[in-house]
Amino acid sequence: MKPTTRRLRVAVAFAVLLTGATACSTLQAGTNNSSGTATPKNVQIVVDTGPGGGSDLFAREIVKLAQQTKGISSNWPVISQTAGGGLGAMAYMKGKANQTNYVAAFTSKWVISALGTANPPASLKDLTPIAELADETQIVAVPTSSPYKNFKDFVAGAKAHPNQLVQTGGAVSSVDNLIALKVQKDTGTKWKYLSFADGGPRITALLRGDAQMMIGAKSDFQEQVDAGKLRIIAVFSDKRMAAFPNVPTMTEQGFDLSALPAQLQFRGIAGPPGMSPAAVGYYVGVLQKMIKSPGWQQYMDSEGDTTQFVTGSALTALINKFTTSMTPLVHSLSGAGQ
Amino acid sequence: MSALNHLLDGLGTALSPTNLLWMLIGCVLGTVVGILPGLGSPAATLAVLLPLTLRLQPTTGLIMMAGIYHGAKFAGSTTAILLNIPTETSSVVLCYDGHELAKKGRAGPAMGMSAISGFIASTVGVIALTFTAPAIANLAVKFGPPEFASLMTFGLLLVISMAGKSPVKGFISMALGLLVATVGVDLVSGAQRYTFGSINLYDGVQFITLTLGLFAVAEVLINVEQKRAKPLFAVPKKLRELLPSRQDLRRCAGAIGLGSVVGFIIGALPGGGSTIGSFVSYTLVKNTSRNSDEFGKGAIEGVAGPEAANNSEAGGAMIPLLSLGLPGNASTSVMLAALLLYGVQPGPLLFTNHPEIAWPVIASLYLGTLVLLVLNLPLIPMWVQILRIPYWILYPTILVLAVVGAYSARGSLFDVWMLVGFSLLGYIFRKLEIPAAPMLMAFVLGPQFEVALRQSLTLSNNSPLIFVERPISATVLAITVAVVAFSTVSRHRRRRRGAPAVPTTPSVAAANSSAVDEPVK
Repeated sequence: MKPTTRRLRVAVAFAVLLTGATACSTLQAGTNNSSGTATPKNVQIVVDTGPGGGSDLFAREIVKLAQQTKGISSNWPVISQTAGGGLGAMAYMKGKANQTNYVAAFTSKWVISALGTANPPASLKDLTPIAELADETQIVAVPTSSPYKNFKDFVAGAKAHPNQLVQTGGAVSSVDNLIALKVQKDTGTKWKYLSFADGGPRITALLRGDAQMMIGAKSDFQEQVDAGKLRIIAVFSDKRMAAFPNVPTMTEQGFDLSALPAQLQFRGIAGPPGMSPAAVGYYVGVLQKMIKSPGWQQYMDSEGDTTQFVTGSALTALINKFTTSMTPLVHSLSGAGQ
Repeated sequence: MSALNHLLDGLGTALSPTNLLWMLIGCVLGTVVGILPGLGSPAATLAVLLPLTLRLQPTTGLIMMAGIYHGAKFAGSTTAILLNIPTETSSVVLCYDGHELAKKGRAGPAMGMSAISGFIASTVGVIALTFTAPAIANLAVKFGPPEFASLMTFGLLLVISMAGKSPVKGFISMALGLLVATVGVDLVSGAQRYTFGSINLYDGVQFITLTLGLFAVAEVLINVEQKRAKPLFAVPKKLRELLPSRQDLRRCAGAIGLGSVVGFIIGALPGGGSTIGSFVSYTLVKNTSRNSDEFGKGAIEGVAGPEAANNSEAGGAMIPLLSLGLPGNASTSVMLAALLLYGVQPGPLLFTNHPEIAWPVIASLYLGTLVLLVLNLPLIPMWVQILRIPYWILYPTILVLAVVGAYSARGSLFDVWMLVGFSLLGYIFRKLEIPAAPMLMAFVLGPQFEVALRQSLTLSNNSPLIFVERPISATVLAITVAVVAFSTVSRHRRRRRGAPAVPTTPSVAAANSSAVDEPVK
């Protein structure tokens, strides 16, 4: 075969591939803009985790309950934009400015992701907050065999063995590490942080004895506590948790939490920049109806979350306060990393 | 033995007509999803189907999910063997020998062996799960970052040993894979690496983009270059040639056994998963086989070993899920989510509190592979017909599927452009005879190795002694050294003996005969 025909064939095959790529971009550019309508149609909900991840399941649960409570009649497809712990999802929403048929299930993590990035492509302040729905109380767990009966014991242990004790959790920039760093700074102690991308290995690190402590949610620990493998030693709040009435709060144990936001892990719904007040009102109505259903209460109980329905300027203030109190912690992190 | 009674009860429940019907639907659905790279991973399918399965009885819903899980897995092997497209990380290894077999006209036996070894392995897996769950669960808990880092060292060292003729080229491919794998936001420090400030690279490169480019599109590019008058593959006419022969089965017995055990144990480690299982199994089978020279050129053990591991892994993966409440991989984590939505808390108490759910799920996992075997053996002749499709239909179809697959992984056009880039790279690789599989394996294993290494050093305050101080880690390292030494010595000895390599033009006869000493020319 002649080399020219050969080259031609490769070129043709490649051209097909490129045509495919361009066709996709035309399609993407051609998505319709349905701003201005009273009731948004073809609503899509954006999340920052892959299928089966926390926010994905949260979004699907909301859609399911909103349908059950007759707030919405059609299904909202879930779009997952997983890049950069919320940065990708926020950038995606920023690109949908003024449209009323896109909402995002945000978490407090999105604030931290934007703080920890030099030039974030978008931040939660760019979006239109619609409603906060839930807050997840942070609690502290240790293995049952641990000598630490409360958080004061743990801090004393960390004083006796500087940089020896290990806390396990997710990325360094996650809330559990940030609040631990605050305690370390306040008490003049230092312990290590062991990152695992998934929840499973964190629990096994505790059970194996590689890590001595973990800060997380009730749903992270409940089963292991029931099975007698883990013990809850503190609640990161000034109120005790109904599920663990005998566990004292950090405040009761003499730690000052006033510099930390009252809500550490919250979830809510936001729209793109410039979403019309009418559309915001529509979504608030749907969500308000949904959170009154028994199904929602059941879901909150099983997750160990508390319902926090905050909208409007109160929600903006909440996000602003969280941002201000977390900023120095996130910055101390990037300083330490250098 | 009460575990056995429970299992038999579970089988009884799973065998009800309704459950069987949903399992069948699940298997078919999973097969369809797995065969089309565009439709996404089984984890995504499971998540999308969650609302539907929630309307079923918990047991029935979970049984259907188990069907999808198995169906998608098996389909991943099918595309790897027939078209050299691994749609799942665990089927990358099958491109080595499975596709070579298909090129020789032995696609049928390769697929049959994949189904048979899968069935045998999941039998082993479910029996092991029934009787050893508590013991293995304890072992799984003891497997921490240092142990994982040692296991990954084993895996990465053997990537090169699989490279084929030129270890240098294998090393180049592996190094590129490690490099591409570092792209993204680093978990441990939160720093960005090679993202060039682009949000599209924060999450790194998608596996499916890399694999479609390096394998599927590159294959098309290389093939259209040569005008083909005759069909791509030799398609056997006789029915008997479509199924593995008795000799194939005898040859693979050891590989299936080894693969089953390896897959089960690695599947039980939290974060283990079938990719590492199938890979470790391939290298172990290759290094212990008498026919190790044939590997990479169409050895049927190279299909049986990893496929066995790939399937017994499901049994192993259920151990952390059911006994500790911890998912081992993406698919089991979706099943975990489903259990939660049904209001069943999986965890150490699941077997005590909800035996009516736990045991039928285990039983249905097992029945799933039986359904697949029954469903697929008669269908093999049909699948093999894919190879008869003329290239002017097949190639555009593959290109379209590749573009759709890359796009739909996360709805990003950027990924389609990356696909174009990786296709070019794959084409260059083929021209320079650099194997692409080491790059893909390094891409999968590299990040896990890196994270485990850094976690270990965090624990030990930067002392590398942690890897030999912990008994399991030390054992794994010792096995690594032994396998590497063994394969080096045996290669050296073979070279000294001047034994001929496997014929350069592969033939069906060479693949069938177990004798390596076939004269060249």
